[in-house]
Amino acid sequence: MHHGPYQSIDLSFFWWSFLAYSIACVLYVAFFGLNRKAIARAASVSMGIGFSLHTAALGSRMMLIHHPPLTNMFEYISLVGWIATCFYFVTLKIYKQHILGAFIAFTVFMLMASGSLLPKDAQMQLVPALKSHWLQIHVTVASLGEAAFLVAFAANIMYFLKKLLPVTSRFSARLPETQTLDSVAYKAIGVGYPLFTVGALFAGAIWAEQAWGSFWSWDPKEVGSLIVWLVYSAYLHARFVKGWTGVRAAVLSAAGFTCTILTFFANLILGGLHAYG
Amino acid sequence: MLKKIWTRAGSVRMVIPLLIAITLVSLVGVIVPQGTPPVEFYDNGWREALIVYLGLDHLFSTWWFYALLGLLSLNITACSTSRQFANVRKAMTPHFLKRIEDAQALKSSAEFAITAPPEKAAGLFSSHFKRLRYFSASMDYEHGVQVAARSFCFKEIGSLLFHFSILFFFAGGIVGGLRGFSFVKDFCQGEVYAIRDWKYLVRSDWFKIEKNIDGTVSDYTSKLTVLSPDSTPVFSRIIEVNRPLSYKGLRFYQNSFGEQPDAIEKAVLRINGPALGPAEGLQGVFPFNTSVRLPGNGLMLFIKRFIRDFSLEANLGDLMPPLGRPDNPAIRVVLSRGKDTLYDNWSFLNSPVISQNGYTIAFLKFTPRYVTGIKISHNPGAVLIWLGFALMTLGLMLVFYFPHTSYWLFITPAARGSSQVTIGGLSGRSRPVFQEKFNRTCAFLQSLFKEGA
Repeated sequence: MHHGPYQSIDLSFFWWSFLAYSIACVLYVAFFGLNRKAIARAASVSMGIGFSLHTAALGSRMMLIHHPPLTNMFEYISLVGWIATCFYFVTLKIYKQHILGAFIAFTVFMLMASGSLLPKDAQMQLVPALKSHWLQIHVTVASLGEAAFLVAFAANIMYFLKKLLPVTSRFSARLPETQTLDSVAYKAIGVGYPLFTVGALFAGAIWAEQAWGSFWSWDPKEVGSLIVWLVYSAYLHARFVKGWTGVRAAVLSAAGFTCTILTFFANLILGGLHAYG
Repeated sequence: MLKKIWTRAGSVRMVIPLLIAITLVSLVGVIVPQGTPPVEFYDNGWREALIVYLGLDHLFSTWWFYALLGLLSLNITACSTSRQFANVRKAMTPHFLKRIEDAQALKSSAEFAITAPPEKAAGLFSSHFKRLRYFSASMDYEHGVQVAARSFCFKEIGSLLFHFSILFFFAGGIVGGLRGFSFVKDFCQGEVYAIRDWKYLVRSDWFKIEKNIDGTVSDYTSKLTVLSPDSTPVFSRIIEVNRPLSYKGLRFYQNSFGEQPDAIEKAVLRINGPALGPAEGLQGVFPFNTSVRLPGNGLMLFIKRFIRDFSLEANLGDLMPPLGRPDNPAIRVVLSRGKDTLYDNWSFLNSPVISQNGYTIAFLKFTPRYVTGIKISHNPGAVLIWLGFALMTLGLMLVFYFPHTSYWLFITPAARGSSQVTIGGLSGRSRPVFQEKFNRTCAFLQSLFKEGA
């Protein structure tokens, strides 16, 4: 239920930011076809506008509900999308390749699109279990990790396209080198893995112990997070010890992100202790 | 032979399939509802038979799941002892490149001239890197001297800590499982509870539900007092969800709150029968589990049982037809005179009454008895789990945020006691960041000789 002077403002900002991200994606599609840098720059500007509106959406929602908007699936997806957009700008700054940004922008758009389909009611009052500073730590740090995994996934998609498209293809030629894509995915996982471990697993376990009296309950979301962690652990282990790069590493990384998505929605399908909304 | 088996047990060939197996098994554990009898979610058939046979409905406590975790801990132990320590030792010894071209082929490489012979330059370079806590060594190569330097082995130590931390988690889980316990005790107001093997008592002084304006629950709160064995209060503390009480190895959590399912405070009853005279009988409020003398007739009334949600099969046998309501409170009332029991039967809220010896008792209303559910837990493995958290966090930080850096310097003699230096560097840092550091290092190494001159 919405109440107070900020009623619906947050959602208006959300929809406007979604529109800006959508325009950015359309511009990136045009950039794929026409290969004009000006179009890519326009797409970046649109992403910037979307990011500003998105920030306003999160900020106004926080003012509306008097606590950080981290308590239901819509708010969580919105936060992950916002962080992924931050990573979009970081990636553009480091690699200076619009095509890399384009794929991250598409994943942000997909995330926002799935968020737009979820119930958006603001939870004015928190249930007792959520009244803890661990809510902010657990959810924010876990979403930072998952947003980094999303960037890795965007690099994986590009990697597969580069491998599958014929070498003579013009589009393939514009994609970054496979080594660069492999490196982007690895670095994103290198950022995401520690954050996910500490945020999703440790902070979650510590909070669970305080609230429910047990570090671990084999709840569907907990097991899902463990699966994500195991897959990315396998990826890093294979990479560090066996030197896995290329297709095998990309497949494992993409499998990790698929598990992340399944875990994301696990409580909607399977219920459990994390079924807050 | 034993060493070979031990090394194999700690190999990547073992850990990757193990991780995949645990992942797949966990996935099954997510899909198949845990703790639910299979009949509730599948029809009789091969799927139910498989679930029962493999214990998939309680997968995370099956022997074979524990066996998988055991194999993983064996792998980690073997890997740590046979490989991780060796990696740390290896990282403390800088390795040399074979040829000068190897240094030139690195993405960060440079060449500069210095005014010192190779041996003196090698000594100065080595000292500089050692001051920076690098492992440094030098050796002659066919055209001069090679200096190799490697930053402190944070990554390898981090990897070692990471592996050990997983063992701490397993150890914490095992110790907690074997030596710990956990149960929920429903406390009535003022109830004192003695915990077995612990030399103190706990009393629930009061409890309350705080509600928001919209009627939703804001918080559950209970005040607990720890008492010494002679019932002297030691200290009190208000606990709520997310704010447990810890005392001498036990933790008390606010777990639940609600009506007691098998007791009430009082009930409103209407009694009719031969000894009560007028047709409308006697209506009154009667406390639970306490004998009450009815006025003027020598009858004693005693509410001996209460069931919050009555079901036919469990409680009555074939005496009554099912009422078909999920919320179906019932009380068992005894009416007696002296040693004679006149009435001993169930009475259902707002339902037809049962007649016995001409007496009927109608159950009109009741005041529930509230309880606060306190989870009492003892987990001696918690310390190990906390250590695991600390070690893994530290390990991850060392692995991912303290990348190693290596330098190789080939010092070739040049004319009039000077030398030509070819330097190559490699780092786990991002290219632009390391390139900047590399340039600074080169400039500093050159400046060592300018200052000397």
